[in-house]
Amino acid sequence: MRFVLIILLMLAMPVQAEWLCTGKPSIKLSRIDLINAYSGQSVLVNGEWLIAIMFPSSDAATQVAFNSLGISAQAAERLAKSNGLVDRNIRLATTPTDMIFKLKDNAPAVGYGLVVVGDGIEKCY
Amino acid sequence: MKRVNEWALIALFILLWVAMLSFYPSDCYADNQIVVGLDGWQVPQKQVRYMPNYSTANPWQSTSQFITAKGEWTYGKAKFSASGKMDSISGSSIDRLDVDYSFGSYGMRAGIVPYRISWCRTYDANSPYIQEADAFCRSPILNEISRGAAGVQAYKSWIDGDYLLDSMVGYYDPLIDNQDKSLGPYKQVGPTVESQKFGGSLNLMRLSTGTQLRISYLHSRLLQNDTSPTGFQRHLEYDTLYIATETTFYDKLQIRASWAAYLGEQINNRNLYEWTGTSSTIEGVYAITPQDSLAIAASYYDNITEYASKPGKLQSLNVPSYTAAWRHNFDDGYFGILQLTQSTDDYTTSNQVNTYKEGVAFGLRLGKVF
Repeated sequence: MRFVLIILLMLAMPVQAEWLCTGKPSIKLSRIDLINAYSGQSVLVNGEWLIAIMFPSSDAATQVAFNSLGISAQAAERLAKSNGLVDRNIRLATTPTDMIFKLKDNAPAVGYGLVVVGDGIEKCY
Repeated sequence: MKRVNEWALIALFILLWVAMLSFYPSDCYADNQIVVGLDGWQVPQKQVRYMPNYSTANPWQSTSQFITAKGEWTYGKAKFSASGKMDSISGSSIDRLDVDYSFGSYGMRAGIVPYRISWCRTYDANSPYIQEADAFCRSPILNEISRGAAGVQAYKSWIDGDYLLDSMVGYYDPLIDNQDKSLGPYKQVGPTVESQKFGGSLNLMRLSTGTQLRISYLHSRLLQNDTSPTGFQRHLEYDTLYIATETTFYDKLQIRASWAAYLGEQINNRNLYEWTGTSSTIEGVYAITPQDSLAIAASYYDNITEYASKPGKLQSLNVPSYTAAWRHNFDDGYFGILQLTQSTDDYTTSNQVNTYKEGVAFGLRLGKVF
């Protein structure tokens, strides 16, 4: 009975995304920063534009992350494409390895998913 | 202004790439993407317009290799971007080599800049197609809407609640980067001596759904010296229009509808004519799983030429085509695409002689994204 209650409680709890960043010095982002970054708006961090990295909109980690922000993953994915009128600071990562690579290579940057903390990648929200 | 040789541009592109990869300073950030692959096609024996083997830059082969590369190097608020492609059949081109300076919601770009008229997927590493359904994107004769030229662009964005509006204006001189053969859909009759383009685009997106609308306009003006014995100076003016919308249903089905047109006029008393070409496309891309997508598209291209010397006798071309493509992404960036395209080529000359051809092409692409 207790086990069933724990399972039900876990199912009722909203799934939270783990937001991870790179940048020197370490950066902390607000929910508004995350919404702005993934909505294609420029977010200035340490004097530089923040790069927002995402997996494709069909990825399960993307659905959790974008649901927690309440914004559309499809919109962000379209903004990341190179046929827009304005180049956005949103990049697409295809695999977790690619996410780590892009986080490190584009600092200050933010991403999400099952990315290991350490080696310059830190929790930032 | 002095023209830049194509090979000099390619050399500069490679040199810059190597330099940026090797020596870029610690406060400069890079984002590079290279896609390489192999295409195999089975095409109709008779050439059908805008099939993969129609009017290629290099001799047709049923298998070919391609590489597309794009890179961005950010230094503070400035960003240097480069993109180019090489294909053993359709040749090579540098489509972007520019500096973008952004002030946040507005900025400007200078260099070889894409016109950014259309949503063609030339550098989209996740494209569901080998060759796109829209004839204006896939055919090298018609795909000026997906290309670019030396020029300057200014852009500005506005956000109002749930809506994001992007705007852009640009001025281009294609002769600077040696594009004297770039005449949109029109045939070259001799060396181009003057070429200018200007235009603008608007893109409206609803941020909560990703639904968006694009409206673009580009005006081109050219002077060409005809090299035939009855040579004259050709004055060609044409407008390029693009209207498209796309949306997503149930997070899985993307629907896009587009209409594009070249509306042109050759202004010369010895051979006056009007030429109109339009392409209408509707497509759906369904994400079966995160690794698999299925694209179905129908496209209709037509053009009409009206010669002043032959009133009432129109030259016309109708090319309806249907495309289905399945893409699977494997691990480590490997992917495969299977495509089937059925197309019809219905052509009537100004002397009212009709030819009719149709055929089916099957294609397979195996590639890797780095």
